[in-house]
Amino acid sequence: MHLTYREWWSLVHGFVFGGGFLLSFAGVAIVLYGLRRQDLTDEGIAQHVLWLRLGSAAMAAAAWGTVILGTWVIYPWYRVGSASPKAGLLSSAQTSGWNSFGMEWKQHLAWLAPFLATTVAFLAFYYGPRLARDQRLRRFTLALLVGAFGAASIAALFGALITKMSPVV
Amino acid sequence: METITRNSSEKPNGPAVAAILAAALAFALLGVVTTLAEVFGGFGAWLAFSGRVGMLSGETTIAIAAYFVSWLGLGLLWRRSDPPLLPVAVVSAVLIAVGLLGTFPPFFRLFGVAE
Repeated sequence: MHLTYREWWSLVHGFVFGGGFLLSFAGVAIVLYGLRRQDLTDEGIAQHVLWLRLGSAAMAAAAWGTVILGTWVIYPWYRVGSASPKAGLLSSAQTSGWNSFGMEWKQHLAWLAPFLATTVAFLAFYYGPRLARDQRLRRFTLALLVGAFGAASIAALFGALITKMSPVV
Repeated sequence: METITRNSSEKPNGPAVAAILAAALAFALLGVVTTLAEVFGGFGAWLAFSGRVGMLSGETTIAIAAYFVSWLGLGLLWRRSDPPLLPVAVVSAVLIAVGLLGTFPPFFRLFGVAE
């Protein structure tokens, strides 16, 4: 089994940062959804807030890591050169849509994730226990979290499919 | 039914609203800049801050700068104010929709941009 230098960085981009973001979403969403005054003791709220703050901060860091690495390190390998993955996709009408639609959309849409995830982390740190008793605020925070997840999921799906079609090696 | 309780010692919404609007503004700007860069070749070329990354480098740099500058500016402006969340949610949703539209390839191809 051998991975090239570029494949290692692609792995960090898609699996470590991107995969970490998507996986941690489930935990943060459950903690945030369960953060209700009427269902928890004061100690339970404190525990939920702690995990919410840690999880959302980790998600925001993972989202920034994913898009910065993807844009500034992986993407040049994808687009530059006559033998690049982009050139390979554009060489056939059967595959050109993976670049002209898939990559074009993914590379921009993915940036919504760090903006929203950072906002969620800020709300978790700023409001803390108030999220447990303010239902509207909690639902709004959850909507932002789902938005970040949705953007990241679409980007990850296209990333995986494009890599399968024309990998960065 | 859950009710909202608030007392005078609670933090104002201003800094949180600033963070939410900054995120939505940054993404809306990314959408607008992306469409303009695709439609106007000269602007797209100017956005290639990095030759290897292409115009995506300028588009994302502008969006990141807009995010942190608007967050700081709005945060300072509203640090003691307490704006209601609902209008902020509506405005944020509209801004994010603008960003989604502007970054959606079939949208900017409506303006004659080649694939």
